[in-house]
Amino acid sequence: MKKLVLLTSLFSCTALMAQTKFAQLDIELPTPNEYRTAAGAPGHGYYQQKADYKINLTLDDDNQIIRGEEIITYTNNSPDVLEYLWIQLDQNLYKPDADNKLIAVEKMEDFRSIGDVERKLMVFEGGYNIESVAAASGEKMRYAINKTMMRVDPAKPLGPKQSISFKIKWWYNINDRMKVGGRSGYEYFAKDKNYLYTIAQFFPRMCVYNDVEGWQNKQFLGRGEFTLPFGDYEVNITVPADHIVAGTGELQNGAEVMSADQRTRMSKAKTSNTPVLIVTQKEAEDNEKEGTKSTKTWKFKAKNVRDFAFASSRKFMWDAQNTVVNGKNILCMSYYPKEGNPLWERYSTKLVAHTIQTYSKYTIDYPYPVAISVHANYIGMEYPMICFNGGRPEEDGTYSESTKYGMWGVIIHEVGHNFFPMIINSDERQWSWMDEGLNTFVQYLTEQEWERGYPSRRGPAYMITDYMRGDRNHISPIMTNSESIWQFGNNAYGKPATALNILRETILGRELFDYAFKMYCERWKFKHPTPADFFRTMEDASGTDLDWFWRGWFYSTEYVDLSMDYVKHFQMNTENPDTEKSFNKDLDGMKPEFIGDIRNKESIKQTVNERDSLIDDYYAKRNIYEVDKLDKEDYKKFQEKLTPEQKALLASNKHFYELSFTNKGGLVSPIIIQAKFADGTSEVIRIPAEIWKMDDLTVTKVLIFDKEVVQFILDPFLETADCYTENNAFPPINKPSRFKVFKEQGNNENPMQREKRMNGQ
Amino acid sequence: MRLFFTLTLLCLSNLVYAHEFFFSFAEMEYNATSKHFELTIQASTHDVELALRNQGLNVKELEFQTRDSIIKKGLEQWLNKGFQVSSSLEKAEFSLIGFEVLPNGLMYAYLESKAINLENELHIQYDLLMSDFPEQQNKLTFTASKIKQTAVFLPSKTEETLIIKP
Repeated sequence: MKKLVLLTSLFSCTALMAQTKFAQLDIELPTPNEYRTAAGAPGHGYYQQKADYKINLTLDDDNQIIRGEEIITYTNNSPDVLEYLWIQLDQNLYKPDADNKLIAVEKMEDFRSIGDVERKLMVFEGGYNIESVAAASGEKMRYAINKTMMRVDPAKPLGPKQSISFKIKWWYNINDRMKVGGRSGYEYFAKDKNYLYTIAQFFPRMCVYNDVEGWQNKQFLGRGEFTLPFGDYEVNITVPADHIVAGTGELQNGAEVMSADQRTRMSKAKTSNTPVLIVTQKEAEDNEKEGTKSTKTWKFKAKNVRDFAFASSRKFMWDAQNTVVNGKNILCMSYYPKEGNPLWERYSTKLVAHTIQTYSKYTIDYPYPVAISVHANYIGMEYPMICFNGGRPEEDGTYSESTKYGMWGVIIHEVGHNFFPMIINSDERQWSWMDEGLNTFVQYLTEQEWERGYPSRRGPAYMITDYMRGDRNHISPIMTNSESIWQFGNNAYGKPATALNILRETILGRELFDYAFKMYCERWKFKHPTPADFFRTMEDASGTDLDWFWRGWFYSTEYVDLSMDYVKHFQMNTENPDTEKSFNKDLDGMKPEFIGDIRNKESIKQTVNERDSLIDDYYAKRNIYEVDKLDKEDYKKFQEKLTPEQKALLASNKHFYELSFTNKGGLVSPIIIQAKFADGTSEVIRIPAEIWKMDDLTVTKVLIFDKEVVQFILDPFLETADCYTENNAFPPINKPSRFKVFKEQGNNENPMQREKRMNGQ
Repeated sequence: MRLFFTLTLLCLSNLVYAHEFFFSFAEMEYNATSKHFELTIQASTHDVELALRNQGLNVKELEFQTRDSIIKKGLEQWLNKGFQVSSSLEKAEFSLIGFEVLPNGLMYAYLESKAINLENELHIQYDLLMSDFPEQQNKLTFTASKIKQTAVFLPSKTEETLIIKP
């Protein structure tokens, strides 16, 4: 009785755990409301604010200073009265006393070299110098700076459907990216004494106010990027007259800032489906030889964007081509110094066009008129319509295969960010995965359409296993704030991209997934989605309860490790005495012989019953494998009771296999089994993850085949991110380690290098 | 206390090299027959290139330098400094068998230790790349007698002791 009670309680615990893994996300997700529906769509009461900007900028190329004056027109579309307005001051990250420096955890081991100390003691006088904040009337407005944010107090509270315009005048020292770091700044080219500016997060920008968080009030600490309200921009940028400027939006005064040749080439580019050079390498090299004291003003307009960024240099080459999305022309362009060639001229703009096309297929039609890739060494950073990308060849123009793929990958990724989060405007400062993860997923799809077998770094399930397996003390759930994530790259980029790949390839299938994913993108383009909106749309539009999947992949750090513990083989009893008795005879004949019996054959010359014929009776003499008359009569009666279908089933000689699986990693997963048959053929069985719904530790499954199986393999196509594959085959397969394979092959030469050596170079 | 500095100067600060990788994975297996540790270390190639340059090595693109004996020696020394194993009091010295750079930018270095007895405890220090990237995080999967163990290493926790199960 005691035993029975124990077993019952054990079963209850197991069942409870399984039920927890499959429980709905009722507690984790916010309650649906008029702003955001339970189906994951914007609700009937959804609203968002608007922030329009008119900005005049001057780039001081002698002192690396940028000065700006901006008029912000902010429209309150919320039902709330706003007593104060909050503004992002991202450049204050570079203030000498900024929080991001103070909160850096340090130890003396961090000061091992003179360079470490130099870096620690280096002072860069960065950050905004706010000269004035004034109302449209010119009257000064009260404001307060809170580190990387600024509160501006309107003369009277801003009511629903009301707008306010005010002016901010500011300047700051531009950071040297090569010394201070950063997503924007300048790179100095000592050889020709020129600067290449990539300027972003550079002007005071309105914070988001919405139904989820009120004012977005997370300070900029450096990692969690940003979210901003949409608006229309008019930006005038005054730069040295020999600079070429790339900016968010459409250039308004090409006739003033471009030469006649450049305008002719641009006209040609606008109808060309391959890149046309607007500024050639020779022209760029000539241009960078001498500076100028005169200036020009480049004027840009951009509608319905969440930010503005630009790049400026006299070193720029410039090329452009057209691409068409759903009947709409999009001008794809690249800007790069000669140091980017030969890679940039050959690939950048083609990659921009390809990315726009592929993302438009999987998400939404690209809505903007231009898409730009600018070369900035080492980094990859995105802004609306424009991004700054690394990937630079050696000085002699050679480059490795990994540099080439690195450059391709970063351009696809950063151009892809136009969709996530520039248009599908999630809050990066809160949830990095919502843009980085979703973008990395579509990046993977885009790379695979660029080149068959493209060596993508993230996306395929098997590539995340090193990160996910084993010790989970220092990895974070995907649903962790951007600033507190262990292993940011794997967590915010790799794991969510993998999860979406698994949803697409294994859980939902491509048709259901692609429809639901596109639905999410359509619903939330030019809006502010949250994780709940994504989770709910994917479930609702695919018609699939995925709460268990989000819970395991996004809210936990568990990993997939299914093991195949045993396989038992059975066949049906035909009741035919000829078949069954013969089968039993064969079976008995296969039993191993006990060692004592083997030795007794030699040591006991003759037993008593072998000597005395009167010893053996009926039991000793009977042949248990003999088919007698009664056996045949019984079989005949059994056959008479069967239907023709049942007779055929009995005669079919089916093979039954009982397979047992253990969930060692904790993360519930579909079970994908490949059965390999003796004739060389195979069959794949896909069991949904819900098989674990009552017991998430151990399950068994019976598989029935017409042929005998010689081997079972779990996850044969590496689609579930199973972290340990050694326990995935029955009979087991011994795979050599990567070390052993390398040691045996012993050839690690770069193919291009080998080719050169073969040609005697 | 006085500070003693290495002579190497960082040519680029970690802030410059802003990207989202900062990881290294090691797989080490104890070969009971040869008594060698067989080690594979995976990292982002650009991270390793930068770290080696910070050590004063003339590294351009490692992909083109897999047969360069000076680079290999420098890489071996750097790996032995950033990944140290001792069993009981005996320290394992690793020889670099070779390395390869994949098109996706990942680098794999293959190392083998001299013969060493595997005792009950294995002490590991794995702080590779941590002085170059403050966010670096490393993970080891160790296999002995078909039993796998994993350990995570952080700038605040660069050492770990594994208990070897019989």
